[in-house]
Amino acid sequence: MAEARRGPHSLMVRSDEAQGFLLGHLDAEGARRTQSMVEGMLRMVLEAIDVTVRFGGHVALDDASISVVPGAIRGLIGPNGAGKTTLFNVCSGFQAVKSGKVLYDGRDITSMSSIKRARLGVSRTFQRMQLFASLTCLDNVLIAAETSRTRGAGDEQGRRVRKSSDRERAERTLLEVGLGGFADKPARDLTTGQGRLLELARALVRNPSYLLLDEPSSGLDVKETRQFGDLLAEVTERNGFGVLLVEHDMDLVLRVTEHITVLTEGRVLAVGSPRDIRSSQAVRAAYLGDEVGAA
Amino acid sequence: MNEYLPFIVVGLGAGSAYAIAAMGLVLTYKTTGVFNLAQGAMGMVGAFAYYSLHIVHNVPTVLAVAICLLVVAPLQGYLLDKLVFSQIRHLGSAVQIVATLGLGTALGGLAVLIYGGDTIMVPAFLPTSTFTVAGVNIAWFEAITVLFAIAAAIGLRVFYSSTRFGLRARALVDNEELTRLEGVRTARIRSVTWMIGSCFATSSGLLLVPLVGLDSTILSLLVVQAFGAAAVGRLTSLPLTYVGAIAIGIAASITTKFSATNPAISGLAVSLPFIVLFLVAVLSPRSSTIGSSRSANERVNVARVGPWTRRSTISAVVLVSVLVLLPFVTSGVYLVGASGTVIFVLIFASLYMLVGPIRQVSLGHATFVALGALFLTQLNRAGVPYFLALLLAALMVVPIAAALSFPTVRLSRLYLALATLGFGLIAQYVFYPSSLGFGSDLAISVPRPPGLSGDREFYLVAVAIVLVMLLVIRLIVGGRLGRLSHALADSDVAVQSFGVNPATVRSIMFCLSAFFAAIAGGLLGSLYRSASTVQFGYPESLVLVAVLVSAGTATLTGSWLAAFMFIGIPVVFDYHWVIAWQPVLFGITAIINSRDPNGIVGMTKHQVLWVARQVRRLTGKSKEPLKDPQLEMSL
Repeated sequence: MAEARRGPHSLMVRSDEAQGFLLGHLDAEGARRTQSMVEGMLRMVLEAIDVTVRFGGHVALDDASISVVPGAIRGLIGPNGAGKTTLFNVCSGFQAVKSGKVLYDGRDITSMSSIKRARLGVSRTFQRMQLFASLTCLDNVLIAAETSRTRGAGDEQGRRVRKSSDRERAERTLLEVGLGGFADKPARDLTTGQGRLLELARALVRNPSYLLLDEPSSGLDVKETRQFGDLLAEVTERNGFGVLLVEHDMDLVLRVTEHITVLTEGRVLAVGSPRDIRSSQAVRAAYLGDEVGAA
Repeated sequence: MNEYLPFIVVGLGAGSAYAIAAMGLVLTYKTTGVFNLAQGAMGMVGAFAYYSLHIVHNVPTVLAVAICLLVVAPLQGYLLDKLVFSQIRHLGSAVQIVATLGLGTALGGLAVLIYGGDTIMVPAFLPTSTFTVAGVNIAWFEAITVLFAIAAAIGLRVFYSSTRFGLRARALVDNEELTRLEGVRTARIRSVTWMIGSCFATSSGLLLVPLVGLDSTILSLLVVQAFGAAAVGRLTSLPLTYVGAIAIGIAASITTKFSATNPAISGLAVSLPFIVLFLVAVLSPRSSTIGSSRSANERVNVARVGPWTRRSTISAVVLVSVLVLLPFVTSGVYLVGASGTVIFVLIFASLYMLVGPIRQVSLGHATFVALGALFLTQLNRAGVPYFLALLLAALMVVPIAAALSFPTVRLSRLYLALATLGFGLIAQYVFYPSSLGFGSDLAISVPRPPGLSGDREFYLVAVAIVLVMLLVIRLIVGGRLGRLSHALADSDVAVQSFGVNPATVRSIMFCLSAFFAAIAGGLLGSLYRSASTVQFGYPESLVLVAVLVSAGTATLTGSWLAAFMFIGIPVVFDYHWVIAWQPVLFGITAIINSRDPNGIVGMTKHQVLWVARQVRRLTGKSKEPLKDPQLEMSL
């Protein structure tokens, strides 16, 4: 299954071309709807469509939509209180919606629990890190490997092979994120930056179709953020999963994402490439201010 | 309808007494975050104080009651807050359950030591004369109890809604850190809350003593009646708790009307709080939690299985050799004692699987042990060969454990713990006496395997089975399930993000634990050739937890020590005082060790390492400090 969904790389290219074509020739609303339609047909997208969420009288999300396609990083930005985390939680299943729906490769998962979504192939990280502090780094990743939907290559050859394969996958993933030397260290001894990498490793080892990252750069310094961005771009390209990146760090978002959705007051203000967003007057006025102008 | 009125009146009286206890329980839980399983025992202390003052020392009734309520109860609340409650409030539900359970066990044990184990009848201090309303005789003490409970409920409400103290206490419940930053002395608020809680427990104890007699066990279980009521209030709402207690009191009273003609439901009244507790669990919405907000994650070190080292092999070989050689150097009562000890290792190990890795306390474990013995006997009588029957009996326990754990553990670990206590009580009062259970004799004779029924042969059978089971437990705890359990102690939400339901993991561990307990139960029954309800009552379940925590829950070594302390010591040192002091000591060590995952085993290890370090330093062999080896498990 995993291979099948990743294999036809050309489909993704077509999807991107279609998006570019459509976005260039339709107004924003028309482009979004047509884009949803095309991606729905291609059936490889995690998307929230026209989602509304209310907390009492407060409208946290108002007909907001976002989509994440395989092989690409989708940025989600907006000022504080714009509804970024709510939309992120809608995608990961931690937040119920009042109206609208969430589709996973064309399948309606609106009422599916976060646990079932995780089994389906949605991995996430947490803004406030959730490490198994008393376990070693290897055990942290091993638990994720053992609970993942796709097991290692030894699957058919019996349990012993599979078990060692889980361990091997965990070790390999730790190496991949640069924590190879920390396998036997308890997670509580890691710095924030290393902790973020460990969370990423745990998500990666589960071989997800979609990876949702909730402000992964918070607590990291400039250098660590840059390294994290490079790593994210690299693993996304290599593994072909779709990434939803909710971030405050504008540099990181503009550097690694292919498409950005800007939220403000619960609504989608703009959708486009980093270049579009950078040059959008509306976004500049609503959120970015001089930050981008200076960049 | 008229025929029910007298029962409703009686139920109102008892329900009001329970309401007072339950409101005290909810008040202290809400304000301090500690669920106090010793609430009943605290009420018992007040009742015994009244007995000493009024009956033994002839202090006038009013003065004796006043001293109990205004001096003894607040003092008790204050002292226990400083000594126990304030020490454990941040340590998660498992530690709290164990520590307050230890406190209850110790207080109950002390009461037995001082006043003896027999029920003492105490004359009523409220007037028992009656008056008639609408053709129903109402006793004055009932009317006074009802009014007192209403006054207490309203008084509590007014106190917390309109006084400065109340405002500060409510602020504390919302956000302790902020409250402290405002300059409020939060420790004092908690102390006062415990003093009020203790007064409520004592009032309830005093009101119930004339009805049930002065009996440490019964009064300690006062808290049990309060559980169902507290569950109706979802452990936080005082008005709903009051309503729940009254409803349970009336329902229990009405069931006694029917149980006179239908003995099958005679135990229903005492089980009602737990039927309510269970119904609340089943009817709760899927995503809700009850009572876990303060202690979502246990930050205490949990059990850890280290790699199998050369030392593990040596320990295992020595242990197996000793166990196999034992029947050739001893016999008779000592051999039976040794068999019992070995079987109890399995019972404690099954409990260790819960308390160690997932910090889940089971307060009804003895019931699974009993069911193992019972089902083994029934299957064997039906013609199933012994060993197959033993396995099937243990498997039969699994769906029962699943039905108990799945609806409750998703609410919180505390809730499952309360449900297990209720399960033990319902089993004891409803199931055991039935024809499906132990029958009217309350005991059954349990077979031993044919051809292996001699003491020596059976000892070897038990040793073989127990060792294999311990190996399986070690594999489970050291394997994927154990790792997941361990991860759950750090972060529920991260485990969820892997597509794993934390409640499922906890339930599976609970079912496995019940399975091993049932195997041990079958063996234990066979050892004594009989099983009776006295052996497996709910107090046994509580003592089992206290003993295991005293010994140590981080490794299987703790289970060996626990079994030796529980069975071995009384067999070897057959003195009356040893047996009499056991509950008190277990209770106190459980309180002391509740925060340390490795109990006496851990303490001993630290001491040994300290001595080794000193010796090395003195002999000048090494200036390096000797490292504390990773907690490892030896068979």
